[in-house]
Amino acid sequence: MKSSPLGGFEELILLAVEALGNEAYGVSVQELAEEHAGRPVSLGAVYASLDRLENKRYVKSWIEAGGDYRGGRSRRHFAATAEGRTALLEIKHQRERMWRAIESRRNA
Amino acid sequence: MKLIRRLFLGDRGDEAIADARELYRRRAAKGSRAGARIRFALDVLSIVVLGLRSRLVTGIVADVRYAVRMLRKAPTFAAAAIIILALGIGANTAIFTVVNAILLTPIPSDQPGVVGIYSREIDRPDYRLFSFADYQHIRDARAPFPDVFAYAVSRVGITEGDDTRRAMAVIATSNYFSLLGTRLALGREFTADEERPGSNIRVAIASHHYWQRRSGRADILGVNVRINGQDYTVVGVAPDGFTGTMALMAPDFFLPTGVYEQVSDDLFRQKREQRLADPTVRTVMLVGRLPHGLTTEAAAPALSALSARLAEVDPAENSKHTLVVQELPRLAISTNPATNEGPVALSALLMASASLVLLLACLNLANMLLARGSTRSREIAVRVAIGGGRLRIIRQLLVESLLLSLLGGVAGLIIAMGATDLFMASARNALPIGLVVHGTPDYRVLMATLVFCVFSTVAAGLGPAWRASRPDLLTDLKDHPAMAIGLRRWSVRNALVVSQLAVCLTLLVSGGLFVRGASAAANMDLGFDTSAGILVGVDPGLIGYSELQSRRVMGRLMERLRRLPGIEDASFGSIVPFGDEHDGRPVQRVTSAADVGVVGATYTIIGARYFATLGVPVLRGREFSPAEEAQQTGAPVVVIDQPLASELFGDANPIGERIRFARAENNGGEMEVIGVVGPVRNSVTDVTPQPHVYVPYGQQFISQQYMHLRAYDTLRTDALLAAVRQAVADVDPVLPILRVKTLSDFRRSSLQVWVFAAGARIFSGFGLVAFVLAVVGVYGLKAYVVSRRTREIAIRLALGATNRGVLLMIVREGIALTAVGLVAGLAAALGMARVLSSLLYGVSPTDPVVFVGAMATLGIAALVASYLPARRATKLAPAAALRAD
Repeated sequence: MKSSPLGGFEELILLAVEALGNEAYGVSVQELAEEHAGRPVSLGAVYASLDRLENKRYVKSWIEAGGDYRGGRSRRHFAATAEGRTALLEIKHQRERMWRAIESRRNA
Repeated sequence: MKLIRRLFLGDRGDEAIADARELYRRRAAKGSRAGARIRFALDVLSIVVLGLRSRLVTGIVADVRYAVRMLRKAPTFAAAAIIILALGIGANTAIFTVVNAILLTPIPSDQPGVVGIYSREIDRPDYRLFSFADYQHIRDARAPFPDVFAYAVSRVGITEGDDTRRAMAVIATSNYFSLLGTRLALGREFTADEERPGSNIRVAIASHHYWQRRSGRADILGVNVRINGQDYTVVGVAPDGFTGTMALMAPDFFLPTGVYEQVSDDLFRQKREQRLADPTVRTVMLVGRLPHGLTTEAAAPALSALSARLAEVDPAENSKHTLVVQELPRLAISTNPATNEGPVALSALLMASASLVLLLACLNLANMLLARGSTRSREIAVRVAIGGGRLRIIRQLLVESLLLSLLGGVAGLIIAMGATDLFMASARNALPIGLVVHGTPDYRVLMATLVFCVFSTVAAGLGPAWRASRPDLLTDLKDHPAMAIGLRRWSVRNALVVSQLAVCLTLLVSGGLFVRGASAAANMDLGFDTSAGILVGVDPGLIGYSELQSRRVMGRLMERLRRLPGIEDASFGSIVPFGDEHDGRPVQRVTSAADVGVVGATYTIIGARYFATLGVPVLRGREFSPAEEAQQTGAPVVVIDQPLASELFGDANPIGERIRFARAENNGGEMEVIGVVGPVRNSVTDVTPQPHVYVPYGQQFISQQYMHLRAYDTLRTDALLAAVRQAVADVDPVLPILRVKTLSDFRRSSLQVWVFAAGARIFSGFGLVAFVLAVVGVYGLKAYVVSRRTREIAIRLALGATNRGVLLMIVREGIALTAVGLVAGLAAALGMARVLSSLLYGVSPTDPVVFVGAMATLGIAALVASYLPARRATKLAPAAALRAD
């Protein structure tokens, strides 16, 4: 099944969402992404990517009450869909194949 | 406020802002507060900008998909809209392509600092050409011009095989290309040796289009070209698109000043024996480059210093003149400084008229979109009901209009390219020199087309989108919105149609005036008889004949042609009346009075029996005799025409009086007037014929001559052409024949007639497109209105109204509409005619035939367009109409 192409930043965000499991919401995604990207990540970029990922149906979102926001306000949670996970795995396999080709060239 | 928040932050804006606050809290707790504040600001900024962009992009992508779907569901509407837009945008793109080539495309002389240098009399605005010595002084002075080149323009004969054709050439010094910042495509520029006057080193640089036509390969260098009967070696090729100092028109060849005497044509010089090196010979024009940053004003002191230097060096020649600089005009080469005013004004007029056509198309489209908006009112009402924002809906409708505009723009671009190709082909036939126009549209044309598309979208689409997005939910969700037509909607649509009619009438009137003007130009009384004439143009100078050889050949030609069967009379003249060449001399009486008036007259060198051959009446005195045609017999003689006689002598009899050419060398010899002939018109703009002066061939010499033959039988002129050509070939097989035509053909294909015909074609094209659009607009409106009122009509019929009554009711509204439209249009058309009046010759700007004709045509068509839908409605059986909808 051919999926929509995933940009580098979108991949990062999707990975962060998947990594956070049940705790994926705006703030936590931003913090994890910035930690692993090694450079500042703006909130707007995170939201825009989450939007696009939702349009591509790789991510779903819903509102949940409670949480560690001040005042226990409701927040929007995100989670990767099955298609999203598949897309991530496809990319991972692609990269691994490429690296194997590089290795075999070096050894040859 | 809420709308703005939603607009900028999107649906999740509140959540995003809350998250930004949370992040701020966490960062402030962990690190510096100032840093956290900065990041908070950046986060909010990124939410707005990236959020907006992301939503906009996905939103627009979705809108485009939706628009495509909607348009596919209504293919006839889409096709009609695209065609209408294609016509409007195409007209504008076509005109813009020409305007671009004439005014906007950068040409070498656009470069900063490149100016024309002119020599002006100190107390009068009279200009003259420079001598080569002048050029050298100005160049050597190095101030204010670090670089100057001298050039002249000439027509030369290029012999390829057995044929010799006339082409334009530029004769220039070696720095011509470098000053204009141009690198040759192949080969090299002229050397200092080659540019030295009299050096006669026969080399040439070919133009790009000549090279392409000839071979297109690098082996052109070293090849010989036969110019004016001699071989020239090609040493270089100019780059593609290079047109020298003018826009659009390119010479075939560039030649060095060293060969000036061999290739300069006689129209700009008096005697063939003149040498360029002679300081009294003034035949070149100068172009200089001012140093970087020096304006023409700032250069003035250096310029006057230079003028003073020149006066010192050669007081006899230069003391009464001063130097003037001005930027080079794009479409002219002349001794006097000229501006681009003419082309700019013409371009503005053409673009304004084309914009009217586009406006008409947009009005039409707006009406169609309004109607469509009404029919889609239910779909839109549903979208509003489930919460789609109004802005969102407007955006989607605009995207639909933009899509239509872009498709129309693409179609229009194709139409425009075809139209300009045709126009250029027709222009190439009429103009004597090569035209260089890009085959494919350059980026300016594409940008302009895009602008037209966007303009159309906004003009046609914004209003209807606004209106459509404001639905009246209750009525629109109902099944039968037919009853809900408010009076207000009608008047907007009616206003649009009235505007269309007005604009259309304006364009029809303009078209009509130009058509009449063109036909007046084509049918003017020229003062001579074109019905039985044959014209043969020859130029012995093009194959290098000397004056003596030329005279001999002309004598033999005349003898042969006068004896040709079917020819009643034959003569020749240096220019053709109503042709595209002009040569004028200032003429004055010879008297002892101090203050003698000077009259500028058209100057022609003619043979014997010239006036009899052309059918111009001899009013007093006589024509030149065959003896006077062959050589000078005694004192110089001259023939003048009636207008010149009146200006110089009033009512007195000029026969026996003496006149001379003013300001010629030694103020010109005196000539005795031996004849007065009838007036002749030289150009369409000669409302009153201009004065003419004629001298015999025996007295003056010009190589190029046009032979006029008068046939006995006007019907056989075409058949005689072959015999004439054969006769010329018999006398001298290598003599280049420039043209052989019947005089009426020549007149029809003259440049001026072509210009007027082109103008007529363009404006009547606009008028035709406008007519179609306006009539379709009226029909569309009526058809729509009638379809909405089908129930009402059916009820009326069922209740006993007659077909006729219903028809009248509907048509009555159409009449009112048409009348208002025509009246408004009349006012606009009169205004337009006044603007055009300076371009119209031979036709009054309030010509009643054109106005009445245009109003009648449009009025009748509009009425018929109103009547047809009404008629169809009354044909429906009332019961069916009541049920349908």
